Amino acid sequence: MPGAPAAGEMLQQLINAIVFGSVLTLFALGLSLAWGTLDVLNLAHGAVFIFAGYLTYELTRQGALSFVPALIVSMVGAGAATVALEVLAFRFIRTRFANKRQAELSMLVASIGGAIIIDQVVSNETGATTFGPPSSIFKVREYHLTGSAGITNIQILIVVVAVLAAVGLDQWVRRSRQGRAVRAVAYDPVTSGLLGVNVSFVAISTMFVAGALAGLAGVLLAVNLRAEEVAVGQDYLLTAFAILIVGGVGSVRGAVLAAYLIAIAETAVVAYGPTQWRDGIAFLLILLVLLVRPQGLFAKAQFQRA
Amino acid sequence: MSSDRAGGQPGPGGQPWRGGQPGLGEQPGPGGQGASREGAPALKIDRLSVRYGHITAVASVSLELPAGAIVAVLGANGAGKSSTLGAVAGSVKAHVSGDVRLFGERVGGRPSHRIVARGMVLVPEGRRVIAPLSVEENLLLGAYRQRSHKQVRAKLGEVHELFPVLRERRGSPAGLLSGGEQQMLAFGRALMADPRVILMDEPSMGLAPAMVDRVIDAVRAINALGKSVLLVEQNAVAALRVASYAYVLDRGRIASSGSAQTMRSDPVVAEVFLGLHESASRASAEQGPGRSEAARS
Amino acid sequence: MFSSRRLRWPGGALALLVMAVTIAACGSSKPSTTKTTSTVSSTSSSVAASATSSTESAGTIPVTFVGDETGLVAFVGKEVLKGMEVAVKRANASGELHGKKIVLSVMDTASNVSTATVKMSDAVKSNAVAVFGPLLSNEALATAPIAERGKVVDIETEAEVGGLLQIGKYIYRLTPSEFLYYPLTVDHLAKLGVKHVNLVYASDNPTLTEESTKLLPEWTKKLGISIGTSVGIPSTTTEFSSIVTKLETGKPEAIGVNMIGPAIASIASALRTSGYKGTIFCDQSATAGSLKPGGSAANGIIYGVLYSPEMSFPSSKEFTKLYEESFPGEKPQGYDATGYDAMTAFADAIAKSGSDTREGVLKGMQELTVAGSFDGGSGPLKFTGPEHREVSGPGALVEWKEGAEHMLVQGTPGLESQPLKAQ
Repeated sequence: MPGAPAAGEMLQQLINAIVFGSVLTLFALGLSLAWGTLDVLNLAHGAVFIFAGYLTYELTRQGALSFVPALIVSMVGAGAATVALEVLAFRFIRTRFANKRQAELSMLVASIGGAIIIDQVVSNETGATTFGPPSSIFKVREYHLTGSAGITNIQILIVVVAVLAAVGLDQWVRRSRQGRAVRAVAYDPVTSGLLGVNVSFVAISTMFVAGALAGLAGVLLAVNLRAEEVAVGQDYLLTAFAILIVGGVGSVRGAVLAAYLIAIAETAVVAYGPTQWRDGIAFLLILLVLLVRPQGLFAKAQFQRA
Repeated sequence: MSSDRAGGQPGPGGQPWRGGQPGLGEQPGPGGQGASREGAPALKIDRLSVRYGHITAVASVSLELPAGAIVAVLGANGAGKSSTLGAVAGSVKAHVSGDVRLFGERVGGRPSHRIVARGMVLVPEGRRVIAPLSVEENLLLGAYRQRSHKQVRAKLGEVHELFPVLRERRGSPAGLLSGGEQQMLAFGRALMADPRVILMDEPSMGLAPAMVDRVIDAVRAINALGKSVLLVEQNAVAALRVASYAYVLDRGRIASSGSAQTMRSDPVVAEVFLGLHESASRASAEQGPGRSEAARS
Repeated sequence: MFSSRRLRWPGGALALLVMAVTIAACGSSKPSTTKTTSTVSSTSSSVAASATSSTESAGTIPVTFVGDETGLVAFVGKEVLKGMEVAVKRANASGELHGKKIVLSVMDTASNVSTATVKMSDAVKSNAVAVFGPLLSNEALATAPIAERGKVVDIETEAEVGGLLQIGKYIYRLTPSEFLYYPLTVDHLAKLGVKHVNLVYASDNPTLTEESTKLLPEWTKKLGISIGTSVGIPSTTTEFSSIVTKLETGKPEAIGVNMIGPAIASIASALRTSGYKGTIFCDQSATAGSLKPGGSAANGIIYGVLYSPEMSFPSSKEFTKLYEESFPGEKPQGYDATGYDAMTAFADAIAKSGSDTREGVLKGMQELTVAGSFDGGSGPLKFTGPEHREVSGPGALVEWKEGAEHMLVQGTPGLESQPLKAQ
């Protein structure tokens, strides 16, 4: 093991951590939205994420579409896949189970089923092997900073999009009429209906946004990684759980903070420590947070009078 | 509280009070909507039944709310009052049959958010404020169907005027309000939708006696804004203070009905709801058979 | 190979997932998946129809491929089957089977252990005189004892799990270990004048870890190459920028990427994007499928393989020619070669023993191993391993260029895993 990395390398690793944190943010936003508002712990989120990467691969490999149209179509496809789960499964579970815990568990199981189906579709279509969009759809270019450090255009795009998506989602949920309805439905769907909110429409649009965010992350990552396979979605899902728990369920700001925290911790392990333990870091953080602050760093406060 | 501005209590069938306040007067009166008929009652429930599986909660209930009136539905716990309101508002998950007309327009069987769009809002039992949202956000949520920002702001101003406490505590999470304040919020939130008819489910429940008076004042004030009110209450004394007419529900059926005046002097009502209120609710909690027979004898 | 990536799910969800996958797999497999391969030739399919009706027709030698035709590794199973079909065609035409013809039937394991065990039991109960497959290590471990108990020779391919051959004398493995041709790569690096390499490997893959932490250091040391940074990362890693930064420290002349799946292409792309100009080498897991998404960034990656269509051994050329005739427009791959080798060994065994009963097949296989070697699609294959029931092959070193493998060096038979011939 060589000594401590030089300054240029440290800067490079910092950039790496920020880019990685941005990827995690993009991935976790949709998961956090669905869980925080509709109590859907959507284990199909990773599959939808890969599905979007697959769609872009299919749409671009014959040169049919260029990057931006493929991105949009893939996001819509990912949103539609998530809406399909909502319409075919989650909705019925929500109305059938009076017990919230039971409904949550049933939706979790249903989402596993959804993940298996989506993964199977992608596996079948790709021959269960590695796939990725052609490099021609996005010319990756590196910009040199000081020393040996550099950042590529796709990495810059990921960071910018992650920040915009996080701020946009946070504002949408906090400030907009629709976001207010989403939070109300999350808290009390029956009363929301009595106030004139079309609950099933809100649920569907929320799941669409969650799915489209997974799609956005999936396409950008497919371009950045160049090669993916079905299992990549599950790998992200696992890290995203850590993010949700560390950040506090349902908190967009917490999720963003936790995403960067975990990214920096994992990158530090790679740069300085025993690399094979990088996955362990996320879980060490979960453990620490659960011990010190079980509700997560940014948990929803309890707004209920005793 | 602005109950002093209430211009008297209109009796059944009386003209809705039309104040000079802008915006609030815009709500369509009888015949204002295309499907409405001139002179039709604000709400007409005809042979409404509600079944949860094999259990019948409401059996062929018919009642009428004249435009601009306050009509009370009294009954012990478990008499089917909430099921009736829930069925009318489209929020119960049960088998519902019968006919519900809002100013002559059939609304039965529609989902709750569509019924709100037709001009009828339910203020649910137990307030059901959206606790994590601020007071103001709760109010804005009440105006969910109103997309015009300007109109929403105007409505908000009116509600603040009616319930100043909601202005004072606008930024506070709704869950942190006291029970009485939460009831005001639930009323204000309902008014934000600019309804013609407001269904109120046990607004006085769980409140201290002084607070019950304020709630009753608020009901009167809301009615004074021209809203027809169907008031479901266990607290008959309070309800009969504002209602012009009352129905008594017992085990899913209308047991008796009459003007508030007569009901106050009705021996059955007096015994079950006024005199023996305490023991009646205890008996109803036990769901013992022949409870009301015992009360009548 | 095929110590495939573990999908890791949190606690309870894992159990649910396993259950759900099992149910899904059971549901999807049709009640009777014994189907005759139709691609070989019309004659063999019609003969096979009578074979499945269990009336043993004279003149046929029924065998069954319990293979992964659907599911996770269907893309491998389909190629292995094609190779087998080519070998059946060759053997049947050669006349070495004493006038009889091999009829190959397929039972689909759906890449699923429980399905595989059911299919293997069916195959053992059938009139098949030998069975082939399955391909996944966990399937192979579960099904080999069934073949062993049923006293049927089971010729495995691809499943490189340890302990498989120890199950018993009926179990053979006709895919050479991937360790055997890695030295070709090291040899080539030495010839290029490489002195320093950095390395990344999948730390949760036993094969790749052993290769990267034990064998590779030995081999490189012999040739005066030093390994600087050796980075073990879980194969579930999906973020490579930090790894790449670390791999570039010390400016090594070559970087080894002993990973599986898409990680190879991702790391290679990231290395090239950040301006790395040196040689990138990897394990034979770098198959066509996993490098293609790398596009031009994958150009120049070198790795050892079992088989290359450019091999000059007579038996390799014969296989390549026969394959291209059977499947016009397609290039044979390593998986095709292993299928071909397995079936060719079987045919040679029958030819040797002169008996096509189950015991005759075993006797023939034993005679074949005593002879020491046979000529397969991947060149002259030597029997090694426990009781010589495993093979090693010469292998080849290939370079990936513009979407295809190009052979740089052909291995020398008999020098397998002997580092090395340089200098």
